[in-house]
Amino acid sequence: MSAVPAERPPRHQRGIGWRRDRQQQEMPSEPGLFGVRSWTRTRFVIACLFALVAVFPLLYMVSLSFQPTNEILQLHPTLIPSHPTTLNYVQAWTENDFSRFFFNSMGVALATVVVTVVFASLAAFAFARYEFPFKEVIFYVFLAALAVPSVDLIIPQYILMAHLRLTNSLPGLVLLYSSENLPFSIFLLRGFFEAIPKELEESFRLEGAGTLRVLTRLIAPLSAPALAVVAVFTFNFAWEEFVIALTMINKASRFTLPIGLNFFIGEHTTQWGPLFAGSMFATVPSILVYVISQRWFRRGVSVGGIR
Amino acid sequence: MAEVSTINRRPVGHPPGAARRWHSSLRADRFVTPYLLLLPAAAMFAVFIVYPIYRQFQISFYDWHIFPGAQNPGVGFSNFSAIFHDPAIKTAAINTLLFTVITVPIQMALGLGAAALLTDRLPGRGLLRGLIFIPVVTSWVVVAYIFAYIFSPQGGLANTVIGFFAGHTVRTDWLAGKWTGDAVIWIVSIWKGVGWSFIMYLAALDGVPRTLLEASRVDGARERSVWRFVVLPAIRPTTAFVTVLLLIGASQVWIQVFLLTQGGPYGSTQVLLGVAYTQAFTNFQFSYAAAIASVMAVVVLAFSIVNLRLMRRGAVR
Amino acid sequence: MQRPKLWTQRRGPVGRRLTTLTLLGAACCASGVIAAAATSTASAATARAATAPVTLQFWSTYNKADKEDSTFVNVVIKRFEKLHPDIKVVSSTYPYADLLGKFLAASAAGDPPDLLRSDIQWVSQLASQGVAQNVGSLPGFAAIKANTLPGPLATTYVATGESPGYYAFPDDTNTQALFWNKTLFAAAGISGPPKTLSQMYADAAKLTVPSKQQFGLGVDGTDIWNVAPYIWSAGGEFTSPKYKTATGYMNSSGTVSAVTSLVNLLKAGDIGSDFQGGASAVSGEEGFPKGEYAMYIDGPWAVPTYSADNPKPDYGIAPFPSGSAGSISTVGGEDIVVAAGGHHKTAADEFAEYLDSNYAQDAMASQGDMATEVSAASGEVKATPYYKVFVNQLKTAKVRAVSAGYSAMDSAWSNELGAILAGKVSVQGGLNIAAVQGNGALRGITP
Repeated sequence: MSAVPAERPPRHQRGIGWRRDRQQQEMPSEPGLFGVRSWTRTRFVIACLFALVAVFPLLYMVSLSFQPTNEILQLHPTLIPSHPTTLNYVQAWTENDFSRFFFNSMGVALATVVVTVVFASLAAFAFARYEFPFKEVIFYVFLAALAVPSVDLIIPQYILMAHLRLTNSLPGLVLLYSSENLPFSIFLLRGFFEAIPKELEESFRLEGAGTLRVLTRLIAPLSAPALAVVAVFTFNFAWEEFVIALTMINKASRFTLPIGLNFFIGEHTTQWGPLFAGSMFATVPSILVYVISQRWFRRGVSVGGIR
Repeated sequence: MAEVSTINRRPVGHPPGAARRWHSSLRADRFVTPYLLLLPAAAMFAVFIVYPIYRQFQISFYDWHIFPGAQNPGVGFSNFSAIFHDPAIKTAAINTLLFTVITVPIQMALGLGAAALLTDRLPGRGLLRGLIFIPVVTSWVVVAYIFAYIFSPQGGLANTVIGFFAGHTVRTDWLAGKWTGDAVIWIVSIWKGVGWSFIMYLAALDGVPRTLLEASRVDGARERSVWRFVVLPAIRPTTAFVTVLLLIGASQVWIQVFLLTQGGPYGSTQVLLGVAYTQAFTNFQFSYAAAIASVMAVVVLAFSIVNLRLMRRGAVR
Repeated sequence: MQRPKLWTQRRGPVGRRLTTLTLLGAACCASGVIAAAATSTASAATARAATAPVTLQFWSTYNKADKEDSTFVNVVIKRFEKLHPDIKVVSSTYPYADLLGKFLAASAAGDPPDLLRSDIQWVSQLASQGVAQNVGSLPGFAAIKANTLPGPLATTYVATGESPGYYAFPDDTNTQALFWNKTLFAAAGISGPPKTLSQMYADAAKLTVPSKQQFGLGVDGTDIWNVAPYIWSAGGEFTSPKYKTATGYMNSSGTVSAVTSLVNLLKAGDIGSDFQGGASAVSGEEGFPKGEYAMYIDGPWAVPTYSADNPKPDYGIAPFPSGSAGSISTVGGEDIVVAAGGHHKTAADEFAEYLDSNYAQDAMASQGDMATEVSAASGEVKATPYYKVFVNQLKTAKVRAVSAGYSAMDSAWSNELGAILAGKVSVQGGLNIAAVQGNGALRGITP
């Protein structure tokens, strides 16, 4: 068992699946949560039930996205479309500059993730490892902001952004979204950082690493699951956020995806078909981000005896 | 076990005084560094969140008008006292409380259960995890519409299934009644929320030291005791975290009520945030809405801090 | 195994701290650069705008999916710009959901659009907040005032508040008329649509066939927009003429008898599920083409929807049946608000006045936005024949209370009517409660 995170093998030794091989090498008989018997079959059945309940309403949505709008308005929409059509998808993508909204949202969401992860990690590390005056006060200020409902917040925020000349700008949105996600991220990361034993860090420091090195080479890989969670939820928040985006952005070319979707909801009638199709476009990247984060961040977890 | 370093071990390749210099620089470091680390997050947060919150709080003490330069007479605490005389607020407060008490524990239990099932190796584990997570990333508008159909009085799935078990046709108009409407709101909220605590608990259960589990089993502990005395305490920080965030989120429930029942019938399923939004953007009573938001914040914050303290005290460190 | 030396090891402790500091500083600088970039783009844009001809910002919820917005831009605006070469108009459309919030936030920051195509409901509230310009005294307004249908004109007049006056230009209007299903009428042996309220209620009874899930009448909810025609036409009222009081009107004998008729109809089972509401109730527009409702009231926007249906329902549009007070329907539509905080008010006023010209009115009428100006009425009926019934209905249509407290009053009314329908309270008792709450709404919110 290795004492410190294993080094990446040199390039010529990194074949396909090298991470999984190493995991299996290092923990050949990993004891599970459920003991020797591991209850695999039961777990599988129950887990499948969970998954089915979770996903069934969305199968419905997929089915509805292939039905024309006037059929959707019927009293008994069927699970299998009787007149399947891809018209909704075509309409959703081409109408109203949807593709541009998609890329605007993608840019904003990715930038928000980067800013949030970096800033929150730094702050959480400060909370986890140091003692300093006002420490708990500052932490509770971060938390307290979560508890405040943002009913009237949008108006002072808009006035502020107007003073900073950041209205109608996508980078402005990034700043707002990152700020909104900081409390949750810092809260989560602090917990994980605190669970990392101090001895590891001291050994690193003795070998001459500065704080930054400690963070990137030691803490980050060890708290990879937590970073993955922060990334996924931050992306999701920025990707789906509607009210702030609509209020701040005036220029149609800078609209984000949720604004684009809401164009299908009119004052008198709603175009359900394109709305469902558009929602599919909106849901898929979130799922992809989740999948990618699982793969990328899993690798740091194989730190032998620390667990 | 981790290779425990000894502080006194001389670092390889360094002149003798290095350790001493490291310790002295550490002291100055310890004072400045945390603030430096905190600075980017704190600065951004103060500007974009704390300041608007302060303004929102300030608004609740005036009769605020939007137009810059308009007269905004100060009204002291009258907005706050109005809250306690408003029957709509009373109904909304009870509904919000009920929502919290019912949905939060269920979400946590189901999330933990699902995470426990899917921590260890399982065929299709990755796919199953993804599927359980999907409801979290779907849009509320779409979800509300789909569930409105599932619970529609004629031909809706819910009534069909119940009718199958009851043996006769069931025609409940779910969204038209107070308690049936509440039931739908709770079900939809739990359905959409379980994936969130599921992900949190997954990460936590991953971090439970396997060696500890192995050791306790070797010692002869029963499975149930392993869970009670090893696993649950190990994920206590996460439980604290999840509880607080779910509580805060539940207190701010609104969008699903708005989409499913519009607070109906006759305002009986309305929640606090819904009252605040209506006051702000339909009746243009921004100050009153700000007052409602402020009171909500204070109450929820108090609960959260108490909660955190209780859980922290018992945490294994 | 000896660990390879970390690169920072080669410096001393001071060097390491400097590195940390530098990197953190770089992060802060990066965010500063982002902000600066955004700022410089914005300020460059404003610098450019200052020397160009006047550009007006016009915000609306015009539909881009059909031709509403393109007609507005390519026909209406184009001609205006030809007539006024020094003014350019930029039209931006937004989803209906948050347009009001957006306008308020922009006004609060002192940077609103020059013009807003506002729902008629918002006008009184925008006026009370001081963000709508008082346009009544403008020289061009007098001519428009004389030319506008009485209902739409009333939506622009704010009677409550410190300075009563006209706070918007009328833009487009609509009203509700009776939609009746010809097939179902023929099957029930009724020759034509009812001409009086009592006839309508009798027909509803004949047209209800419970086994077929068929109701004689569909009413889309208990709020004022949906029930007002039934109340007004039967001699009921909601408020005093200047929208100052609800007691004595909302619970008057006329209103009581009007509501009682509806209650009796519901008890007899002749009114469908949408009256008592609930999100899963079948709305008129859903149920009418399927034959669930034989009659219901709706606006002109339903016609294009039904023509897209397959199979097309066989229906007719008739004037709302008259009661003791006549045939009185509700007025809907939009008005043009000129932002009080806008920077080009003179030019904005010119554009708003232009929008009430026959050319502009008829152009938008062809896209479903009925004209408010009398002189444009004949043109629009020629272009869109089915407008005829609605235009006639507009001559007698009444406007809902133009007051900042309207929404609160509407909620009170709607909730109490619901309680009455559920049998929880008597008609008079429920209306008394609603009237008191309505009073509070109308008065309490007026500054």
